[in-house]
Amino acid sequence: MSSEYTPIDQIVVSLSREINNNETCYTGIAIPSAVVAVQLARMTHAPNLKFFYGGYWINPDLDVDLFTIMTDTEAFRNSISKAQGFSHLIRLYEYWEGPKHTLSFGFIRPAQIDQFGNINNSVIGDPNHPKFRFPGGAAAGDISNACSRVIAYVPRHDARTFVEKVDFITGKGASPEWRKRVGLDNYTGIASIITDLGILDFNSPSGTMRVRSIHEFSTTEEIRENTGFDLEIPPDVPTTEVPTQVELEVLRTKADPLEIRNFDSRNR
Amino acid sequence: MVVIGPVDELVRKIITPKKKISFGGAALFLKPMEVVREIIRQEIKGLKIYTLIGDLDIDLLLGVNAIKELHASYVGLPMVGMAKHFRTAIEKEQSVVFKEWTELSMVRAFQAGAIGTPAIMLRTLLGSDLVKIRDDFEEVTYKGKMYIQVPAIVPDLAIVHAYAADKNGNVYYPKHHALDEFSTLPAHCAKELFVTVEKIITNEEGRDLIKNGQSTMFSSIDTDYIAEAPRGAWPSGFPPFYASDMGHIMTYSGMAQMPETFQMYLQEYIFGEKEEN
Repeated sequence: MSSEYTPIDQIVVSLSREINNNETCYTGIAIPSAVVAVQLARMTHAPNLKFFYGGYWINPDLDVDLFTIMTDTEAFRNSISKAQGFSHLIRLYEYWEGPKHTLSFGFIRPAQIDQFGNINNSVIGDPNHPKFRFPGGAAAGDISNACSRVIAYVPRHDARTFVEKVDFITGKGASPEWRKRVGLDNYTGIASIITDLGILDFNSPSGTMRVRSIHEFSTTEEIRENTGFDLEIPPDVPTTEVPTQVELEVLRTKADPLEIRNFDSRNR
Repeated sequence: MVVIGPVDELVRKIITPKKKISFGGAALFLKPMEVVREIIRQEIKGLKIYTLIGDLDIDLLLGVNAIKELHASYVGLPMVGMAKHFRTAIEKEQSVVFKEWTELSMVRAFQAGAIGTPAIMLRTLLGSDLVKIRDDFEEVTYKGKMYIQVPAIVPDLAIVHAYAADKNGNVYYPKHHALDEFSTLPAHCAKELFVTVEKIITNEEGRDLIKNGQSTMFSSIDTDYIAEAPRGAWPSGFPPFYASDMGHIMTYSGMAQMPETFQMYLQEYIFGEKEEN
């Protein structure tokens, strides 16, 4: 097993390390790296994670990819003996604001994100006559206020994505003071952002975005050049822990043998 | 009494401009694609469409300028890329009024419509600029807590694709199923319901399904119009029977980029004699 790894491997491994054991989460299928990261976490350090997938399965252990089980009768049937439980899509929409409140974290892949963690998946320019129309946030505008914390990822870190101020707030950022004022202080908002250059968070004195670690194959200069605002980079900023042999092996052989994570490096 | 007939006849009879119509399915699953194709064949325009997550259905209809007002939380081709006509219609032609919702606010608005409450409160929209640009979203305070109130969605007609229907108008779930709420949510809030099914079965076959432990997705009280449309969700997927046809979606995405190639797509897959499925 080669110890060489790609930027998307680092993203997936770093995403999985943001996940703790004994948490509960949901993902859909449109953010492939997040799905793979959850499976990787379950197969390594978070075996007690409760993973509600695709509006149906709880903790599916699969030898095929998660997209196939949605649509292949035989794979669907086989998946039944390899999952720990079954639920209904509607429960997801109830968990988001209902009394169980069991979702520990959710994932966002923002089209634009600013120094406060506000995300824009809607428009650039005048909302009524936009210069650029993004597909829309789907749940990205909801989960910052519906999951205890949000883990964001950006497959290609550039100054078009990391902007000083988003053109439009689809979903509110970290903003702890605002959260306290409107009574959403149980929800952190975006807690961390994993990119192909490093890991970012909001643990700076001013509460704006800072660099938590830089990937082994990237540099401080590269992060600065590709970020559209002055972000805090501590002088002693560490290098991101590289993927371990075990993580890479589980990723390649069990969590994502069909490499659906690579959809994220092709498409933004 | 439920009306059972061919897709083209029912589309001609019940789909008219200005009707508010909700589509079942989401994100390349369970879309009522055969009806979408028939709307294009009959050149019906001026529609007002509600769908939670729009994909090929919406992009095709926007490509032929059939939609006047669109409500959705996302319109794109998941895993493939942007929806070309959605962008063109909004950025260049301004030929459609697009009302963006978040996924949860739209789900809540469908639920509110289904139970007959005129509006519903939620908190996930707090802080979103969507509240600023939507004059029908309102910040309200209830018992000292802030909420955003959104209006119920009550379409005139819902169109969904499902597994099987009997002659009485009962629609059955397949034995294994998932994601059905993508279709039941936009259906329960509507005044009328049009269901296309993979197959029409006899009442006896329907009762046998129930005896074998299966259940109905819609009863004969819910359904108004039913048409048989085998593989009617194609190229969106219908778990667990057929996969989202990603090869076709990629072909579409490529052909949608230029007006000439889009016309070729329409000729080949919609106006042509036979569909490749």
